[in-house]
Amino acid sequence: MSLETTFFAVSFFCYAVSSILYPAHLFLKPAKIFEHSRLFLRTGLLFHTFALILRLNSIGMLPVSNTYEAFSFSAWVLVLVFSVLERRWGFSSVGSIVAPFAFFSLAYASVLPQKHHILVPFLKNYWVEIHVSLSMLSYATFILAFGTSISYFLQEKLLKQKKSNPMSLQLPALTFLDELSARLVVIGFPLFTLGILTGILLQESRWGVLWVWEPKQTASLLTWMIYGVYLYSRKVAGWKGRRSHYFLIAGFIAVVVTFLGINVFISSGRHRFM
Amino acid sequence: MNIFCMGVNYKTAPLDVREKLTIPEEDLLPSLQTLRESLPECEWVIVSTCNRAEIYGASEKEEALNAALVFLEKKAEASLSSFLYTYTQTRAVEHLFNVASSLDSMVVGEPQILSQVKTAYIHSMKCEASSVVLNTLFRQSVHTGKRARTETQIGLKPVSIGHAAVQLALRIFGDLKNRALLIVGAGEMAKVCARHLKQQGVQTLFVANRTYERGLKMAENVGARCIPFEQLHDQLKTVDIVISSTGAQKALLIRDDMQKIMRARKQKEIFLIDIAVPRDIEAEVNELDNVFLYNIDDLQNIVSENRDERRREIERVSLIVQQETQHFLSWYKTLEITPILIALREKFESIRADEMHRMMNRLQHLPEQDRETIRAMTVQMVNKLLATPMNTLKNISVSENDKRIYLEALREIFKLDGASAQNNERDKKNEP
Repeated sequence: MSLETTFFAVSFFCYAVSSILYPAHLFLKPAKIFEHSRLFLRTGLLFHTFALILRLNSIGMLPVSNTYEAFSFSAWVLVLVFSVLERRWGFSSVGSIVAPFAFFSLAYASVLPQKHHILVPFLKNYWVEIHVSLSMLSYATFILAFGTSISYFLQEKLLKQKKSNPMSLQLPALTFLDELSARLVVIGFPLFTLGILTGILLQESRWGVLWVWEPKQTASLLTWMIYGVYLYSRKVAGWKGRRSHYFLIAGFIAVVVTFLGINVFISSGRHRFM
Repeated sequence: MNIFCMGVNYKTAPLDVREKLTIPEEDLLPSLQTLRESLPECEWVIVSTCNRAEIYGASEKEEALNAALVFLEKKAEASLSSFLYTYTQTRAVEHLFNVASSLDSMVVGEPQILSQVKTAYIHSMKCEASSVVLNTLFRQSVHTGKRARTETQIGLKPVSIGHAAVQLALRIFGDLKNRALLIVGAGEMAKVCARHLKQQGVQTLFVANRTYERGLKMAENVGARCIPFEQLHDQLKTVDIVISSTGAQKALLIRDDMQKIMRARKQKEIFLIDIAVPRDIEAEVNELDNVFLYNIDDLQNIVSENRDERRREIERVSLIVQQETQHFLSWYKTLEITPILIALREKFESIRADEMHRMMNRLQHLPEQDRETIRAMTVQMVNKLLATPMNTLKNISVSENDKRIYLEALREIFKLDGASAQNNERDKKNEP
């Protein structure tokens, strides 16, 4: 087993443990469980980083050339963004979404062919790396916003039930979750827009057209519109609370579709390699 | 050394007595000064909260208890015999640890007492009214309080309506600092709830009452602005928390009204506390999105569920208090004994060294090895002679009085005068 694969396996294991501990912390009080879940997640992130650095070193570019690399890299971005923001915002309940996400991403990735796919000369452009990074960063924030929405719905249900429930204390306050969701999209939406724009520029430079109605591009446009409407409803129309979170659920589904929109054999598919 | 606690609390004395004995933070230092002047060879700490007024002392002198009594009765300007309690030694330690763990508080599990205890002893420490014994005792009491809070769930669940309301508000809004509260009606419970919420940071308060004058009174009482009753629905569009407690027979707020209000609020979350019987707010209002309506039964349910759980937690905290009391007492024991033991050993050792020295002159004819054997034997003999009394003293379990008699007897019989001077030196350095 190569060093990279070892690091990958360790990281995978850490994410697995963390995926059990984060939800466990919601149900049980001991602060130790929370500390351990965080520890495992961050350790997993560390080893994952090593694995990616090794790959980056050997292939000379961002590891995003095939499905295996895409899943691994996007999981890494998600955990990284979460770890950074968790420190500042204290919304660790969302770890119950992030850790399993990372776990399943790596689980799926581990059964895919790992050999780095040599890209056609056109794609060996650093703008491609920027386009992919921007997209993945924005996906990370949108997935986190999904996490805060779920936490919001959960907390709301507990409060409406009017029974004293210890889980309610483990989750952040309701309006705080509402605010965090908005903050995440405010960060993610511009990144996503830039991601789309860089994609458009790349497409223009290679194929001479700005837009093609291929599955991935269409899906990303739909995603963009959903989050755009969400932001509009909140900032301009002043919406708050339950109904604005429906957008985030819809947006999340759109993100999943966009990311997985790996078109295989449709002739006009630009994203055939992803 | 005698450790004692003398005072009154909400269980033993009514409010009008406690009021006279309360010492606000700014008066702590002068009060401690007064106590020190009345008896300088005594350590003093004063713990004064809305629940209790207690004096803690540590002294060799018997008069310490009297000095405390004189101080308290002077402050109360009356006899306190029916209200006062006095604990000594183990019981005093246990009591303080119970207090710090909030077991002796009116609302078991309340968080303020810990910082109040800390403040009390920091003041004493600053003006050197307290020394090794009380400093260690209070430090350990704070440690006990912290253990109680982190190792059990004692502080987690509210046991009064006011606390329940606050905790729910915190679950909904997180930070209460920029939130606005509206009180509709009047009543003691509404006032208490409002005060609790204000304590947690709510700064903007409104009152509305069908009778404007009564509204004004309530507003004055809690520090709110009184608004005319007709503006009720308008005010509901902007506030975050509502406490409703009118005597109305019919509901003031029905679902349709609330729906319109929520629309005007752009669905901003609102917390409605309806403690009126019959209810002021229609139950169906809770079905609306972003509205959280709790009536008196809901709050009572939370509180009574928590009371049973709290009993369990109280037992767990009691266990912690027991452990910490034992821990303190073992340290306390060595504090008294150690100087005596050291003095005893030194005395034996100096005798041994003297005799050995004199013997040496007469044993010049013996080889080095043999002289060494003899020397070693003298050391071992002294150790064996001391072993039993030392162990016995360390593990002694007689009453405090008897212990003092034993130690005094030892001092007298072996003429360990050096012990007293060394006592003070070691007192300053001894920490558990």
